[in-house]
Amino acid sequence: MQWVPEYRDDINRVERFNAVARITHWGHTVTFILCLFTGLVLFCDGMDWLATIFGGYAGAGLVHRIAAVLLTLFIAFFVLFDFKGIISWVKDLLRFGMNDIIFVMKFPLDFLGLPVKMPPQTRFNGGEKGNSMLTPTCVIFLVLSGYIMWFPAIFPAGLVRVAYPTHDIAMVFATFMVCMHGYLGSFHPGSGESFWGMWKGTVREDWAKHHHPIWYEEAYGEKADAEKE
Amino acid sequence: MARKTNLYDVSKCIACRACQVACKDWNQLPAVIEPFKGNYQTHKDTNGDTYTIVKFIEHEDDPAADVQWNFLKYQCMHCFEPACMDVCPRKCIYINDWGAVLKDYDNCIGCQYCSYACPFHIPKYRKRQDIVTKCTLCYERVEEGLTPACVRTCPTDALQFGDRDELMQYAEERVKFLRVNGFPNATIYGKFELGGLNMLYVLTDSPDKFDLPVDPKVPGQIPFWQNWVQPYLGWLIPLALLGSATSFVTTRILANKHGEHGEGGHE
Amino acid sequence: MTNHFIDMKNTDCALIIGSNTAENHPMSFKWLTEAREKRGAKIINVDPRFTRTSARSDIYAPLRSGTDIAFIGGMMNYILENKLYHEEYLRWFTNATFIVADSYDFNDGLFSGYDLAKRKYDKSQWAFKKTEDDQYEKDMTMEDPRCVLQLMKKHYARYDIDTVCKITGTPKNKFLEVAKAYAATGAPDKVGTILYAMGTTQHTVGTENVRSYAMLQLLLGNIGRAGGGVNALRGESNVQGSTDWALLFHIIPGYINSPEAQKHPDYATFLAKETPKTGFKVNTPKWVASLLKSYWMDDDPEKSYHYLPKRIDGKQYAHIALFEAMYNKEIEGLFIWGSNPIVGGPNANKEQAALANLKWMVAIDLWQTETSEFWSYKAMDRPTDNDVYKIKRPEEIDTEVFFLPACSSYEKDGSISNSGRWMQYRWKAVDPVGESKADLEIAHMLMRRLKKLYEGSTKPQDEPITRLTWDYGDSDHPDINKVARDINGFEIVNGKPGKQLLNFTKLKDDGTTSCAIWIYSGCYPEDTGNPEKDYLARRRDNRDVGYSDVKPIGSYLNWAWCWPINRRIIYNRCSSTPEGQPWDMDRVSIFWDGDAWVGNDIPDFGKNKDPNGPGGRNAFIMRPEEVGCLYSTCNEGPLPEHYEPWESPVKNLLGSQEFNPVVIEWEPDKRGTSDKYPIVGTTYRVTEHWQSGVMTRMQPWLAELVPNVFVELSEQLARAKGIKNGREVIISTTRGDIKAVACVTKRIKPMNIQGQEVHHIGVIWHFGFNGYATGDPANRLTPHIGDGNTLIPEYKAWLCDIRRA
Repeated sequence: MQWVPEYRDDINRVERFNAVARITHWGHTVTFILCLFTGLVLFCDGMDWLATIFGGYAGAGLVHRIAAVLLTLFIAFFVLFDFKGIISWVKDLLRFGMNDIIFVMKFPLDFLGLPVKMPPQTRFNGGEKGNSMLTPTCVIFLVLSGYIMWFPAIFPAGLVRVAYPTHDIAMVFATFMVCMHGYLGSFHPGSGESFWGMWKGTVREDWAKHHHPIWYEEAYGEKADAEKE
Repeated sequence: MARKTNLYDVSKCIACRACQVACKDWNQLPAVIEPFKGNYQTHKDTNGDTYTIVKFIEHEDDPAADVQWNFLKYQCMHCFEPACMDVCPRKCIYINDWGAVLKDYDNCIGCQYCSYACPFHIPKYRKRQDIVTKCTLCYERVEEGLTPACVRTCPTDALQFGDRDELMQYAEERVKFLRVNGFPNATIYGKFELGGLNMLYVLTDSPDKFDLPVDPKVPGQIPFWQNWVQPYLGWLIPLALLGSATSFVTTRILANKHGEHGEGGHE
Repeated sequence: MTNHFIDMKNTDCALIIGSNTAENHPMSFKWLTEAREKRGAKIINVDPRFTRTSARSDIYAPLRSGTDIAFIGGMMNYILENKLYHEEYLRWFTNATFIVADSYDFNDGLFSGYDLAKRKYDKSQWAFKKTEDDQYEKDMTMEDPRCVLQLMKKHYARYDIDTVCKITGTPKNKFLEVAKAYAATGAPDKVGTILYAMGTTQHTVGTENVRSYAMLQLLLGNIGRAGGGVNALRGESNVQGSTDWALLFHIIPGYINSPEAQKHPDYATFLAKETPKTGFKVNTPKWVASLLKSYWMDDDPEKSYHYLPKRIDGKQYAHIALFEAMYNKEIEGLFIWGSNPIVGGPNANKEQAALANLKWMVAIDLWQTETSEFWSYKAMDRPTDNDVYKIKRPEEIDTEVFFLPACSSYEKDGSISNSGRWMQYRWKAVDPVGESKADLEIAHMLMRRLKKLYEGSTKPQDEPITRLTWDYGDSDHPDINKVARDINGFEIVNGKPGKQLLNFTKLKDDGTTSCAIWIYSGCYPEDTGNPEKDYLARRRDNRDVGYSDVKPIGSYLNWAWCWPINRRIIYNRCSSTPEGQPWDMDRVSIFWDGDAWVGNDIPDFGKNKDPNGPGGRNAFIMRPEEVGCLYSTCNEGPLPEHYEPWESPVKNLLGSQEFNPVVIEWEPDKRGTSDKYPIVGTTYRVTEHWQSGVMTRMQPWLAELVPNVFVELSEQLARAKGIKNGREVIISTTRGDIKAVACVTKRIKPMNIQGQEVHHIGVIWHFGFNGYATGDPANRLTPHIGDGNTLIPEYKAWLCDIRRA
């Protein structure tokens, strides 16, 4: 059985994510998962077995806080070293249009593996755009509410009171998105190739042409080449 | 079992703070010495090592009359419907069979949600143990047939402990007495507030004169969170996992049927 | 206390003046609260500050510190003018009817017989007129212009409301409210109680303050009755006991004057001079003989009298006098036993300087007190450079200091006497910490070693020690029951202790009985070998059993034991009408049932003395004239007169005599004046700390409650001086400066005194440099001046200034 689509260096590859983006992504992956599991230990019944791994509740609490600080630092790292990348990312998100809506509407079929004809997508397809908007938003809420709960004395009580449900709701949505994203970005046969985009930085050129034709055209197509020249 | 309640009659309290010391003694809490701040009150609020404080509040509504110096013993109110219990993610807060709101400290993770959900902001974080603490109504004493430490020590019987219905009756008599004896605004606090408190106050004036919320409310987002978000929203996570698993299987089955999906997709 | 704590529940009106009962005697409020709840009693509080007591009172009236006599004088005037007094009571139980000798006069603040050079009165000029057969001349109608009541009327007519309020600073409506409410207890079926404490006594006119309360109570017929009395709330749990046991210099145990060298050259002269001709005190020889026998059982009182130390005639040995003597290097050594004078003594700077003049000092306490470390660098710390008494540096001090650790009350057995004169036994709960010892053990060990040192000496001057009877066991741990049996007294048979005495009525003056203190005789009336039963201070029967079918009044006669002879309310003959029937059926103390005095208490009267027979209405048996004294012989005069405190912001409105004419001025140059020190200062305690704070500042939980020395001042004064709440300030007097935290409060208001605005501040005095809570002792501010009779220091009214630190 095939898990992640095979890495093919015999086919021409194009760069999809630079090093900073990849470090940030994987940094966040690790810290988020740490936060998630330590958080679940603290917040859910029946997760006591997990607590043992972290050295009990106190240990889990400590790991949660350390991971949260690292997670914050990765955001800072991304902002500092690839601000341009963020701008172009945001710009791409702002291109959300009819194509994306059609993509999202047709997506469930694709999700289950049924053959669908999708409209051409930019660098990020409709679903990815949704994920790109929702997950960072949730993370920002998580970070902010997290620090408020960590240092409640220096914040107004009303804000602290809101911080707890905010942290929980943001956690649920973020985890939902992360699960879907994790699956689609690796194991899903159609979009799994993007795993290599984030792992090695490059994707198969034909995959890029097929899945993100607009992006491909703009970044590597004739027009782009012409511009370069 | 019938509810057992602490009754605090402000008109008899001389603010000697023996209750505060008795509480520290029984619970073996360390002193939290803060410099004198221009008021007799030791701390602005309860803290992780101080379950109860006596508040000193000066009022001067009518310059011709005497100044009012109000005292108030302040501690956990042991609500009938405690918000702290509702929000505790570890579910370590519970009500015992006679109405004390208690905490299982072994399970407390020090998240302080209870502290901020409480309309009186009573539970407080104790840093040295990373837990949130509060008054226990000395349940361990009560279960041995004693009264809570603060009640036991009160020299003027301003604090009484016993059957809630009986004390309620007594409180009503006291309020009647006070109303005709110079305190027309005397009132009971804790009878209806928040659906009932297991801590009754006989006040000589309206609650705001004692820095008590006149109409305490559980912060609005808590029931919303409690009744809707927490029970249902969490299901999104298993849903995502289940969906992904389904997709994992169906995509592969369909791929076998339709042939190699591979590089193409979206044919 | 004439009455006791539980009895407060019987009152109709409690006047709390010069006392902060709620804070310093919290238990009193248990009973006052009950009186209010069950009887609808009113609680009145008169105090310069609005305290926690004021907060729980029905009426609060402010007064300037040190003006109690003006206030009470005004109340008496109100009562006399409106005839609100209890006439029958006055007629029979007081000296209101007595005719005063013609030599008595009062003019411009001075009574007749004043000698300015000696600052003393010739008291003989105030005597009562006597008939030819040596009886007091009386006018039962109380209308003779020379009878006490009329003289009082005349004297206090000057205390009209306007004058009084100009002196005290009390708003007129408040004064009237107090006067009306309290005067209502003059009705025969109403009783009022006065509770006072150090706010009353610690003044240059302290004794006269108390006298004025006693007079007010007599006027209203409130003494000797359940729910009444003049009740001194003692400042310490065993102050009553220590006074009974003559810790003061002017008495020997049982309130008998201590001998003076010239005045009392021998035993016979002593007895002749100290035994009055009438009243119960005619028994003085029995008490003194038994006392001397208990000290020196093997010698005749005539001989052992000479073993007693004698005072130099007229010389003062009170606290201030002792420290002045030390300051002047007249004293070499000092035992400081459970006392902390450089925190608690007046003019603490001077007292600290005085200690440095000693050769040696022994300090005995639970903790190392500030006094035991007076030689340290910590003790030198001052907030400013103002060093009036030139405090010595550690290297300049030669005093050798010994410290003996004492154990706490929970670590020892023994009895103490509370304010209500109850002798209550306390059982040991835990063993003493380390090598600490009970006070009794320390005294016992010391005496044993002293006796050993003097063993074999034949010198006559050593006889007080070599001949001393010290039979409390052969180990360093004394036998408490032997001590208790000594206290009660016993027959002496063949030079050995015999049967225990029933009580002091069995004492003899021929040297055949021994009793360490006559007033406590009766606490151990039998020796069956079971101290739990024999020693009545150990009784713990908490049932309030009434006499026959009479409603009980909370006497609890089988709970502990109370001197004299378990009598819970003294002068209780007054609880009945002259004919012997209760004034009020609701609060029956004792009454005449036709044959005997019976009731809820032990009669303070001849048990079978017929009320209609001779002397049957002489209720105050301890007085020579056997009646209550409206008119008396205090050093200041027969009737209390208002004098300003030694340091006062204003002139005396009632006469040209500024301050108490009979006080000793130790340091005239240290008298602050209102131009430099315009603010009236007072010191006080808070419920959270105890005395000089040694026992509370060392306890984290109590230090937490009041962690710093603070000064209470009005918002107006704070504004004028730019002082912010919670910030540090410097308070200064001519004696020194201290630093304190400002407590700016609405509870203190500027006072209008004789048309000028006078500010009042109050400082808590519990603080010193040791413990969890530290701060400057407020007594560095208080003066070395004492009361005209007792020499109790003036802690409560002095002049100061305050500024931002």
